[in-house]
Formats: sequence, structure tokens, C-alpha cells
Amino acid sequence: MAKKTYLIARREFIENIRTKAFWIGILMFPVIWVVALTVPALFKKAKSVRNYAVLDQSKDGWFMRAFEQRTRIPDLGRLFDRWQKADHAGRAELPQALSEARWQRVMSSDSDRRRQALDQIRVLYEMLDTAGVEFNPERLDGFRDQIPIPIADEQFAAAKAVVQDLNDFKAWWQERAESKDKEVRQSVADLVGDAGLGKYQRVEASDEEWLKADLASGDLFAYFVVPSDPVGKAPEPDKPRPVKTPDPGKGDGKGEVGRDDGGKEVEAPDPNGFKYVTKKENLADRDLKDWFTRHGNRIVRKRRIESIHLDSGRASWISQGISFSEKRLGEGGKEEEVERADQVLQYAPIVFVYMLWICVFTMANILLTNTIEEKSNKVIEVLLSSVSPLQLMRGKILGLAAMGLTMVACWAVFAWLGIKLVPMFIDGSASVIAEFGIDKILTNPRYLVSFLIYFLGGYLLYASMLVGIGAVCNSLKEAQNLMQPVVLILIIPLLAMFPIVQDPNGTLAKVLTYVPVFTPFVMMNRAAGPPTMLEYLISTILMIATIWFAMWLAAKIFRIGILMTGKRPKIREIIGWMRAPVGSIPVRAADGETS
Amino acid sequence: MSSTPEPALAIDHVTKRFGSFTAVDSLSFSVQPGCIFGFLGPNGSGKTTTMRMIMSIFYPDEGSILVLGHPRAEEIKDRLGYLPEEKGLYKKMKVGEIVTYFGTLKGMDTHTAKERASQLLRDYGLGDWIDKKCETLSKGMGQKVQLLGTIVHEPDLVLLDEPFSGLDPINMEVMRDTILSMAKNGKTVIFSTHVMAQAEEICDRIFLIYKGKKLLDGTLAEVKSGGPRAIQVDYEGDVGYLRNDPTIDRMNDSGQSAEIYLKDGEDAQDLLQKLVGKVKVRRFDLREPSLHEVYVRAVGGDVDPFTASSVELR
Repeated sequence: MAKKTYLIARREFIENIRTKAFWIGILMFPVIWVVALTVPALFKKAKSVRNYAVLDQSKDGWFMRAFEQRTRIPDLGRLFDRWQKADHAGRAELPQALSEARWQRVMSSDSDRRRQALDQIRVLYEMLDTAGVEFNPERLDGFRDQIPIPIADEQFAAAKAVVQDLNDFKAWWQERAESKDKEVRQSVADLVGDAGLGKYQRVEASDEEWLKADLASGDLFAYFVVPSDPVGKAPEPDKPRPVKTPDPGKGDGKGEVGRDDGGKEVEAPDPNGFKYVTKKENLADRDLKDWFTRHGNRIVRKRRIESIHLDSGRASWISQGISFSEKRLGEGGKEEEVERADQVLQYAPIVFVYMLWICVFTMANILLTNTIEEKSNKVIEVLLSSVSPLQLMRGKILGLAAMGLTMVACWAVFAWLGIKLVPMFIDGSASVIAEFGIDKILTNPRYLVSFLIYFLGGYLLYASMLVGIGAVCNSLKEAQNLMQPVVLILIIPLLAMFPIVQDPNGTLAKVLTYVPVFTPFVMMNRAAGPPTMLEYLISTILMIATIWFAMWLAAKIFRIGILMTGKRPKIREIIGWMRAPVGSIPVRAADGETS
Repeated sequence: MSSTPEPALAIDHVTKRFGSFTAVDSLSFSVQPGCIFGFLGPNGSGKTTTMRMIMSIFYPDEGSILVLGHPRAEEIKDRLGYLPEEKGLYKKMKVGEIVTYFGTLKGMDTHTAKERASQLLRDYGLGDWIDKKCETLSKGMGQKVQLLGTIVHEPDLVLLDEPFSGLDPINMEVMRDTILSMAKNGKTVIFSTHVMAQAEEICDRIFLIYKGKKLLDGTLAEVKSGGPRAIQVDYEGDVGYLRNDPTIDRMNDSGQSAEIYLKDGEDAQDLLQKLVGKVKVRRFDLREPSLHEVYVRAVGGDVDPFTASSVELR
């Protein structure tokens, strides 16, 4: 008896792995990952450079001078950093070194500490720059006392080492960054990967009417108007400035003007005289405005601070935000460093749930299609003369389970190859894998075993539903109507995916755990929690019991439905079949006889 | 195969109902081993249901079925072959593979099944198609492949539901030869058909089912003997003028020959006299009725000498 089930399963397996759908399914996995990893970057790159203009009405254009300087500081800061990293690769050829360093930066891990160091260097640079100091590392020592925030010796030494090369670097940089040639600027921007230069290109501004014409023609993405007095007057010390109620629509208190297609300007009242004008269709992309606002804010703030004669050191100190050093509570109440891998590990179940969902849904769907096909092919009667309906159903379900497992196994091999091979070809990717703990995730037995068990569980559960549906339907179209409730059920674990991963032991997670149709997805979802042994035990027993029951019901429906032709039976009839004892076949008179 | 003298198939008072509709009504018959059993009846009379019950695809509501001596065919499914009325193959499977597959499902080991499948396919002129997909086959070829799938495991009892439908004359010949050679090898063949000539040609025994009930059961000679004798006339000309002759009960005219049934008490010599001079008589003989006539009379219901109750034609 088992042999015939095996034969059915084997045919099902062999025939299905020969289909294109199977190979597409297998290749989907690496393709999806490659696409997911590269496309956002490509999109970012593909986003065309935004031309913007600024009508600077400030005195002698000081605002935009400060702005240009200001926007270059982050770029320089990043370049410093890369310069520093590129040290071992030799600095003779800077662009090459930088491009390598870029990888390093993207891949590197100690981001928090580095960000701090970078901030300090940035402060350093600003100070030096404002003071008009030549970049002389020896002289840097003299300035150390003036730096308002504490810098550790080794960090200071590192900064000094950076400054050592700063003179050459500055010349190299200025030549390119201030070049009128767009391509040269772009090449620098590419190295830096910064929003300031790469994405936005400032063009000469003449007259507002001209700008409007450029805007309408699409040459210009947007233009800014900087008022003659961006800083404004400081209120008298004993008379505090009246508190303005912030207007959420206007953001940052700057005026924003939308243009409709007719080119007519809808102007909002503007307290400071700052104005941002763009076309209606550009309103959704706020990156440029946000970027301009961020830097503009700092400039204005700095000027205001200066205007009340606060020295720049204290000003920096005022500007300094707070930042948390993140710890996690480890064994024995010890504080441990939070690594990126820890966070990734918490979110990893989402990927697994999603893959699980795709696997279960795909496999169950193939089963449905095959059953209907077999039925409409009339092969079914030949088969039933050799095997029992139950053997046929079991064989089909098992054959496709084997196919699903093969697919999953192939994915696992791809993932493993990815971990092993990618670092051989792409420098620095090993550190990404280590940083995100990808290898740890993929080899985590809890995730792997859960995935396998819940794939089988979920598949068997939904397979039994769909094989029953397939047995009573004569065409896919009919089946689609009956599929709707199943699809509705299947959507719920997807909707619950993020809430559960954020609170893997919360009420929602705990409740859904015990709903057998959700158990496989929810338990996979909670794997980072992880659930208690008792929860695993009870939910698994419940799931197995439900599978057993669903299979039993499906067998009853399958046995009768598979031989039926003609109109799809009504739900009430199907319920009748479920109650019918083995051997009796309550078929409607109209469809009973086909000869 | 079964060497016992017991019947290859014994059906005893089998009833099958679908809801309020009785498809098979207290049916009984038996089939001896090595017999070619013609299972006849109009559409919807319960042939397919009976065959499905024999194959234990359906189960009877009442009565018992002994297949090769076993009460349930499930246990000996491997010794049975069944060609359903609606024929279908897996479109994407190769011809050789599917015959092999059907063989293995009947308990053959893969190697033997494969050899036997390609042997059969070659014997039946399908050698070039072994590695082609089923979807490339014509309807008749598909049917042949399916027949091979049914007999690849050399079953002791074969049920063929409408095996001749849709076949060209050559393939009909092939089908007929297959059935005959199986019987010669001691296998039992049960087949249903609507074409009486075929049944008459090869059947050892005839069973006529109508509305789920038995109408006729017996050897060809037995079945025919019960009916009136027929006058077979081969002629040239037109016998249409006889159509309203009061001495003639029925006439099956096929243009150049006619089967004429006289009313009780009428003399064949009178008929001969009526023919002479009007048409050129090439043959005039008295013989048993054709199976066609037996069938039509039994089922037609206008004259019903075999059953007490009169039945209506659908």
C-alpha cells in the first residue's frame, strides 16, 4: 500500500521538478535577494541630479557662501575618514584609495564610535577653517585645549594623522568640488556618496521670473529665496520672543509655495522671507528642501549665536545633541555592547516567515492546480483503478512536499554559497556578513529546524484544504471562488508579521500561536523571542491534531469529489460527504451517472 | 492467474443508488474465466457504475461482488485492468513513461514495466513515440496508449468501457485482436459497446442492462434463440414497398440487404413470392436474429418478448 503512495509521490515529484515553475521558484530566491540588495542603490544612483537655484538676497550673499562651506563639511568629514582608512592601501592614488575606502566604510561595523570620532573631526575642521588656520598637525596641539569636548589621546592622534595630509587633500578637494564641470563634481560626489554634492546641483540664479520659466520648462527642480536678513533681530534679553505656534504644514517656519500646472503661484504667508518654489509634481520629493533646511538652520543658528556674542566653542556645545550608548542586559546583570547582529537576529524571523509563506502558498497552489488538471484530464479514473483515493491524495501531497523541501534545500545551498563565495569576490563583504550576523542566522538551529517543521506543518495544513477544494472543482475558475476564504486566512499572518516580531511574546503573538492555521507562521515569527518550550509543545500538538483532522476531512471530500463532474457541489452537500461513512457515495442524481 | 473453476467475476444482487436515483438495481451475473463478455446497454443504463463498482472505485449499497474470488477488488487491483470510458493521459509525460508508470502502479517493478511497455508500444506501432510527450499524440493513438497502460501488467480480468469509440477501422481491428488474444491466453475480458456488430463478432457472452436492471444474459446463441427468426434478404432494387406489408412485423433495411421479421403464423414462402419480380434476389435465407435486432427489441419496448414489464425508450 505504501509502495503505491510512493509511486504517486515520485511521479508528482519528478513531473513537477521538470516544470519551469519549479526552476523559476528556485532561482527566484537568489534573484530576489540580489535585486533587493542592489536595486535601491541603483535607484538612488539613477535619480537624476536635481538642479536648484537660490536667490540669495542676504548681504553680499553671505548666506550662500556659508551654506556652500557648510555643505562641504560633511563631505570632507567623510573623506577624512576614508583617508584615514585608506592609509594601508597607500595614498598615492587618492581616488582609487578612496573608492576602496568607500567599500570599507559601507561595510565597517563600529559605526557608533566612528560617528563620534567623525563628529569630533568635523568640529575640529570647522574650528580650523573658521580660524583660517593652515592644516598643520604640529600646530593642532595648541588648539586641543580650545576644543570644547573631550577627545581621547588616541583619537586626537588619529585626527592629527589625518590633518597631516589635509593640506594636500584640501587642494585636491577644492579643485574638484568647486569645479564648474558637472562631471568632475559628480566624480567627487560619487566617491563621497553624499547628498550635498551628488544629488543636488546649484545653478546660477538671476531673476525670479527667469527661474519660474526654468522651473516650468523642467530645467530646474526648485528654487529657494533667501531673504535679505535671514537671521532676523534678536529679541531684547528681558523681553522673550513671543512663542509662535508651529504650523505643521509649513515645517520649519519656511514658506513653501506650490505651483499648479498653469504656473500660477500659491503663496503662503512667510514670516522669515525664506521661500521654496517648485512644481506641483515635485512636491512629493522633499529631500532637497529638507537638506537645504537642515544646513540653513545651522547657519542661521550659528549667526544668531554669534550675534549675541557667544563664542563658537560654546555655540558648538549648545548645538551638540544627546546620543545614547546602547547596551543590553546580559547574563548575571552585566551590560553588554549591542551589536548590529543582535538587532538583525531579532528581525530575521520576518525573512523566514515571508519565505515560509511563499513556500506554503506556492506548494499548496501547485497541488490545487494539479488536482484539478488530473480531474479534467480524466486520468483520475485510471489511477483510481490502481490505487485508492487516499493513496492518491497522500501521494500527491507527499510528492509536492518533497518538491517544496527540495526548493528550500536549494535556497539553503544558495545562501551558504553566498556566505562562502561572496567574500571571495567582493572585498569587505565578509565584514558585512559578520556585522549583520548573516552566517549566524542561517546556521541558527532554531531558525532552521523551525523553518523545516513549520514548512511541513503549514504545507500539510493548507495542502489538505486545497486538495479538498481541487477535488470538488472542475476548473481553476471555480476553485478561485473557494480559495478566497483560504487566502483571507493566509493574509493574517502577513499582517501580523511586524507587530509580532516587535513583540514576540506579546498578547497578539500568544493568541495567534494557538490558532492552528496561524501556528506555523506565528511560531516562526516568534523564533527570536523565543517562545517557551511549553508553547512549542502545545502549539505543535494542536497543529498536528489539526493537520490530522484536516487530512481526514480532505480525504473524505477528495474520495467523492474527485469522481464528480458537472456542477460544483454546494457546501451543504460537501458537509454531507464529510459525515458519510466510508464506501457510501452520496452523489446527486444528476451527476451520478456519466456513461 | 486463477485456475479455480470459480467465476472470474460474480455479481450478486448489487444495488447502487445516487440519492433518489437507482443506477444499478439488484443486478446479478457472473463471468467465467477466459470469457469475452459483452456488457451492453443504452447510455445511462448503469454500465459505467457497474464497472466502477467492480473496480471498487464505488462501493455497492447492497449485494456483493466477487472479483477473481475476492470480495473486494482493492486487494487484487493489481490483477485487474480498467480502461475507463473517458480516456485521458498526463499531457506532459512521455508515452513510454506513462505506460511504465501505469504498470508500476499495478505492482510491476520499474525495470520489467519499462521493458514490457516499450515492447508493447513497438508491437502496436508506437515505437517512434516512446520518447514523445502524450500531448503530441492523436486521439486514436492516445487511446491505444491508454489500452496498453491497461494491459501492460497482463491482468487476469480486464474491463474496457467503450474501447472501440473513436477508433479508425485499422485500430478497431487492433483492439479486436487484442481482446481476442487476451481471451485466448485465458484472461477474462468484459467490455461495453454500443456497436452491436463488434459485440456479435467477438463476444462469448452477452449481458444487456437497461435502467440498472438485467434485460438479457447468456451466450450469443442463447440470447438470439429466444427471439423470432429473421429472414435475411440480399437484393438489388428497392424493397420499400414492403414497409407497410401487413404480414411483416419489422424490417431492418440497409439498402442492399434487409432483415425481415414476419408476424406470427406468416409463411416465409409468401414473402419470397412478393419479392420475386420486384427486386433481384441474390440471397434469401432464414436465420437467427442479429444482435442489433435483439437489442432493439429488448430495449425498444414496443415488442418486448424477454421481460414481463414493458420499458420505455429514453
